[in-house]
Amino acid sequence: MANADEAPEGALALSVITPVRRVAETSVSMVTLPGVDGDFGAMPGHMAFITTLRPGVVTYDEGGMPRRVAVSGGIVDVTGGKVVILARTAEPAQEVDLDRARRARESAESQLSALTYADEHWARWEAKLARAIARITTAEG
Amino acid sequence: MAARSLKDIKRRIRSVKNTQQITKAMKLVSAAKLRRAQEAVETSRPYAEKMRELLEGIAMRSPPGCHPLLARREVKKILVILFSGDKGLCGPFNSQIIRAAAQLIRRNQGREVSLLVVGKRGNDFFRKRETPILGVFLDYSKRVGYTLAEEIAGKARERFLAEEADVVYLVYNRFKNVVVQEATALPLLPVDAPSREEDEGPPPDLVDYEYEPSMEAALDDIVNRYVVSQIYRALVESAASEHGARMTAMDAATKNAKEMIESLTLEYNRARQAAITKELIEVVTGADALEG
Repeated sequence: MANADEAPEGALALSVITPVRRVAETSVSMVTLPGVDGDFGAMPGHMAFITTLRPGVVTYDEGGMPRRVAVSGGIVDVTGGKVVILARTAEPAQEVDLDRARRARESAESQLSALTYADEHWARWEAKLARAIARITTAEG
Repeated sequence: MAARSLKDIKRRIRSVKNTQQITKAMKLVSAAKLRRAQEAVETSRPYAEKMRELLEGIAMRSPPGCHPLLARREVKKILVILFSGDKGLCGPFNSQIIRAAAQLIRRNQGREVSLLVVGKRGNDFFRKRETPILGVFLDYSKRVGYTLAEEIAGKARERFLAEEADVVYLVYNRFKNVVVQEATALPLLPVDAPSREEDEGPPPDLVDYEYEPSMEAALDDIVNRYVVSQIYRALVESAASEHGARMTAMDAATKNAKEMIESLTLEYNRARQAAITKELIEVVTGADALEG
């Protein structure tokens, strides 16, 4: 892995950090992120930008190989050729437990179908559903 | 030394040996757990540091009082979050941190102090005293993790925002190394962040950031995540301290047991020797008497 602080010209230094580990530390040409107001891409020379992330998929290229990482929401800081993602949890595609994610989606869907939007538990299940979908999308591509 | 029968000494040696086996096993278990806890302390750092950096960056661009968790009020009510252990046999770990909390409470006489207690030991001590306990987290050692930190953060935030607490402290054993754990009282809320003076613009050397959805929303997210990361840090440092303290204590206990076994063995051999000598004397005097 390239050192994130010394990304070559025309590249972005990408770090994906969770409270319990560093998930990625690499140099990429572009990264797409699930921003709270919609997905967006960052390339070298992107303006300084801070946004919160919703649960979703982070995609980037590592040495020509497409990579996907599921994040459960977080915050991203884009400045001076660096992209730092701070996520509560982050899992590269190969680490996603697909069966578990599918079960989580099913249980969240059945819970939500029994609730109304105004229910106090709605937001919690909706967030669970979003995280499950993010994981499934990451694993299945 | 009172003369003890051979049987008694033997029994005693066996019992000390059993104890030694237990302390030795506990020491090994603690060493393994300590290694994991130390790793958790290390790996939590990059996230917490970056969060702090973002927090400072955004707070410097914001007016004072830009977020309710940054609000400084006159201190009348204090919430202390105490991190103790569920179990004993770990040297001064529990007593040290309980003493630090008790001192903090004493120093704030005249103010309303309440407690959130993590761990059974702290709860055992304070539930018999007058400082009210608002919540306890018992039997937590298997759930040391981010979810627990979020739970604690939720309670602290609730109290602070309801103005039931003007300051929130984290009182925990900071892990310096295996033998040294330092009792620490760290202010958690209000979040200590540099803020821009009322009339100044943002410092000119700062990068001009775009925020989505807004600076306020980003700040809110960052502040809340920062608070959780601070609590998580206290949790993992306290866990590392506990394992370190237990390892040290159990190492000392194992050594003491070894010394005790040695001195008991010596006593046993002496007693055995004395018994033999006594028997010999009896035989000899018996023979003398017959001859005489």
